[in-house]
Amino acid sequence: MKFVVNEEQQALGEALDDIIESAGGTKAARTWADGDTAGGRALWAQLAELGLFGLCVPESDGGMGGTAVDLAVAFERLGYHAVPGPYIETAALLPGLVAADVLSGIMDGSVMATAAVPGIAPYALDAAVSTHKFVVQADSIAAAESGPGIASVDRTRTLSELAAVGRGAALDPAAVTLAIDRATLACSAMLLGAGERLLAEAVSYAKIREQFGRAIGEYQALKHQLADVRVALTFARPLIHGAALDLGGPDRARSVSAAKIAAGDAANRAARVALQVHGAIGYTEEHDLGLWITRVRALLGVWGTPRYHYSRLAALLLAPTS
Amino acid sequence: MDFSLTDEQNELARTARAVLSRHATSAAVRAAAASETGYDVDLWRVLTEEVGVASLAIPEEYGGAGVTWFETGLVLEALGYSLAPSPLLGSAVLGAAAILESDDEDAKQRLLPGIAEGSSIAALAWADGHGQWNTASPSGLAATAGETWTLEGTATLVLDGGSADTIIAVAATPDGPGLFEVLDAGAVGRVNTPAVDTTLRFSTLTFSGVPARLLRADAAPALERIRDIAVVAVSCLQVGTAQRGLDMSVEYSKQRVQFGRPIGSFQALKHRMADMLLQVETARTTAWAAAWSAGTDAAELPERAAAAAAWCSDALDHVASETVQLHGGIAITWEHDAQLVFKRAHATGQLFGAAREHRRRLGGLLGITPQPAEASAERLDTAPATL
Amino acid sequence: MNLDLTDEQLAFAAEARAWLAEHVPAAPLPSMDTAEGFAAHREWEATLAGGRWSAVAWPEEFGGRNAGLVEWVIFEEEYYRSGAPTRVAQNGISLLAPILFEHGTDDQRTRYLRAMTDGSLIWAQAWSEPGAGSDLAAIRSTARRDEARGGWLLSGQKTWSSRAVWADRGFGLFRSDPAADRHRGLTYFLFPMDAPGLTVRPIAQLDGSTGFAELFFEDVFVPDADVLGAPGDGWRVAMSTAGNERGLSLRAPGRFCAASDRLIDLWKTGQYEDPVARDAVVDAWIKSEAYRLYTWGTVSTLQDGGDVGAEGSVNKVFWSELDIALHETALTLLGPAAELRGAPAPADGRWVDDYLFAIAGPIYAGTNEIQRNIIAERLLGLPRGGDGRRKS
Repeated sequence: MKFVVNEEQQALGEALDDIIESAGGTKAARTWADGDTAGGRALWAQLAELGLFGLCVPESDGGMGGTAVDLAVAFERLGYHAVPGPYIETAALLPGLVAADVLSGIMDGSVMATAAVPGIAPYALDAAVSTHKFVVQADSIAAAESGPGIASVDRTRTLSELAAVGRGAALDPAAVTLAIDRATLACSAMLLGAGERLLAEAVSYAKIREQFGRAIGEYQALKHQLADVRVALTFARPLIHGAALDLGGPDRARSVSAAKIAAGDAANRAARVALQVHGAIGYTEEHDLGLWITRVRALLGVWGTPRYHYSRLAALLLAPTS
Repeated sequence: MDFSLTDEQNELARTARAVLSRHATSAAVRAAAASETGYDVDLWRVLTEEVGVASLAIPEEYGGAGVTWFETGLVLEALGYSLAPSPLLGSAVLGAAAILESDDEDAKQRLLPGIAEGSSIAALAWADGHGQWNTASPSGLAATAGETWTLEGTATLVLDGGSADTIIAVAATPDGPGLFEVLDAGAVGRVNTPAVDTTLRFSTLTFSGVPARLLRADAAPALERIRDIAVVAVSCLQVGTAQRGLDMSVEYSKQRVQFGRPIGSFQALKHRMADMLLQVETARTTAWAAAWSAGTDAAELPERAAAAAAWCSDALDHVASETVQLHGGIAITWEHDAQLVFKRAHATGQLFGAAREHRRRLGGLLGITPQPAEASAERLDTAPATL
Repeated sequence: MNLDLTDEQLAFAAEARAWLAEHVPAAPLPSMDTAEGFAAHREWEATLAGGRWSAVAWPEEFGGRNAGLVEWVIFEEEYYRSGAPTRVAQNGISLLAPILFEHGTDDQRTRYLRAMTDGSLIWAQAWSEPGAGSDLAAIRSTARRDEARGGWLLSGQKTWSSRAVWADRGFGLFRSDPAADRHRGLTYFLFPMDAPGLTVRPIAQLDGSTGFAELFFEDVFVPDADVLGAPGDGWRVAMSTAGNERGLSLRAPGRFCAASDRLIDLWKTGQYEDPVARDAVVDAWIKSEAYRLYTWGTVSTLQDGGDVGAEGSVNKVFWSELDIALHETALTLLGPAAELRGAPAPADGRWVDDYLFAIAGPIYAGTNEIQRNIIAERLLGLPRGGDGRRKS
């Protein structure tokens, strides 16, 4: 058993980092939040060129034929850089649910698609920027029109209710649940990336910021809070990669639920501690920290809250064996 | 509104603490717990005769001091701090509360003066075989009416049941729960059941056609109130023990040196002890408010008692675990009193219900109830739950 | 020990409740960190003053009711329960006024106190500096003597100045003796926000509002009449403010009781069944109630002539953490709708707005790390100086 990220996956992560950093890192998120989506869309096109949107599409369908672990690796980087846009929807949820022409548009980057999934993700992300909007039901998918945008705690996110247009196409319910779990996995990986970035920011700040004549990172109370975040993130990662490996198997639901819980807990803890370490400066809009703090808060509530996943996990683990 | 002790209350608490610090040394506590009665008879005499601890909540007409359950709570806090075993909770709280809640004037006149004086030890037989203190339909004992009532069955976790001369029992009757006075205490089978916390003495009592006198029929509301008084008393005991755990930890951390300086100067440990103090202070606040409500029969008693029970159990659990953590290995040795704090936390955390159960009960009192099962089932059919 | 209110106190509560029910605006006011919202909040202060509810604990000559501490806590509970607007005059009424009462001149009291109560004079506080946050004694902004004009010239930079964007006047500490170190040589000044040489730069927060600003002082003249307390005595004068901010006045229990009531309503109106979330809702009630009772204990201590002292730190840590837990519980209940802000969101997005406010709680008014140091050292008597690694 080899439970490590392989060289190709590492290279994928580094390629994503290079592209996003060359595009100005968090600049895309900041301009997107202010309503200027050009930078974010340019980044989208570059990532499409890298093959991000075809990662999990079989080679026979023109995709990269990658695994869900590749997806998790990629989404951790997206979270790390607070990249804006409906990536979870376009790259993780929809590829297995849409018609071939839309899928090829997704893969070449010309389609930016969003979706509403009643119950677990009832508000569609970035509908105004998206070229395609879908309502995904338990056994169908339909093109949709969006209502007015609603602001989110995360200023890079604008949400809308969708109304289906026409009857839509029937889907295999199993394909829908698989797609939702893949989206949940992508969301978990994004939370992990955001948590890693929050920790990295907090650690560098703790080394330079001085109070009472010494770096605040020397104070044991902050040091231990940071160490606890390290432990939480370190134990969330194997659950996410494990869930990625289980995505096609019988343990999919429970592994994905465990991953979302652990990633959400760790990222939320990271957000709290990073803010505490930064103090008031971390609470300002001009400091980047708020990008991840608010992103984490938004992602905790979508693709299943911790309580939803606890209930699902409990039902699966505690079901009487027959 | 005045959330501070009166001079008399301060004096009472001070006296109780002084007596206990003199008599309930670590060695004395251990000797008392290992003795046949399970408590220090001489200490009990001093506490009852000189301080009057068993008489506080009993009205003067029944030989009591006629103050309130709040004052009893202050003494329990001091007892909790000392970790000394004592029949105060079993006899002067549970036993006396049950008799006070009865309709039987004669029983009150006859039984309460001895309990107040400390010369008589009462016990309340209530919990069933699952260790549940059920107020609506107790299942451990059953009472049958005849020429006289007789009791049948088993009661578990009877505090001081082994040494009690007066036994009050909660038993099911065809018309709901009733409160009974056991007429022949000698006919009750008693087996002491050693507890994880050696400073609490429990017995299992078995009844086979034991004659009894009905003190109150239709006792469910009385049992609710007795339960509230009981959990308030336990909360006060827990506050004292939590304070002891904190003090012990602070003291130890000032003396124990590691890496060339007292461990109490390390910020991480300082902050943990600061959090322990937060727990102790808020626990005391909720326990005192609940005890005052019990003492004045305030309308908020059920909510305050449930809140105190949940909060104080959790607080002591937290403080006890931290006490062990801060002491390191010596905390789990027999010689060190930290293990007594730890065991007290775990034993009292189950007495009259776990924190979780009190929290759920409080939810019910506040109207925070789960939605009807039909509604939720229907919703789950139509859409994934969002929670 | 008596947790009942007297008939007079009950009557006082009823009077406040009735007045608030009649006067509290039906729709929430716009954020006070906008020009429009600031004006609306200022107007609300005038309305409050009309009913003599602005500062109930103050003497009548300054617009108060001479009410005791118990009545003050009662009023705060009623205030929050009624859903009344946040107090834009808080810096002045809660932080500055106690110092004016204690250290101010008659002239200062006459000029400033009454104007604080009716919204005509809103104050900004100017404590922190880029290098002096939790470590307030590290202040570097200076005050130079100007004998000719009979006053002082302030220079330097302040930050995290609340209400500064629209406030009328500000207050803060400046180093008047450059040779003195840390707590010594500081002086407490009152200054107009439109003074020549004073530049205000708003700081946008992660919730999008601009509740704070940076202040840049370039030889801002302050006459001697606006020195509060003696020159050089600023630290001692200011510390009673810090005690106030951290202790009772900033966080009356009414705020949390009202929030926990709203959380219970949220549970009752939603279709929730999760038992763990239910426990968390109950826990929010227990914590708010514990905080409320603990505050009554503090009030009793003060009434008996005692001092709050380091116990204010216990308050601060407890309320700031309960506030976060309470709001996280609400967001959990709201699920995917939790992140939404503004009108289409549940409760107009108030839960997430208040959550963002709550997560700042462990930072301001002295970080919780500082508070825990105080609790450990002053209440538990643990040794000082054990922070971090020892330097050789």
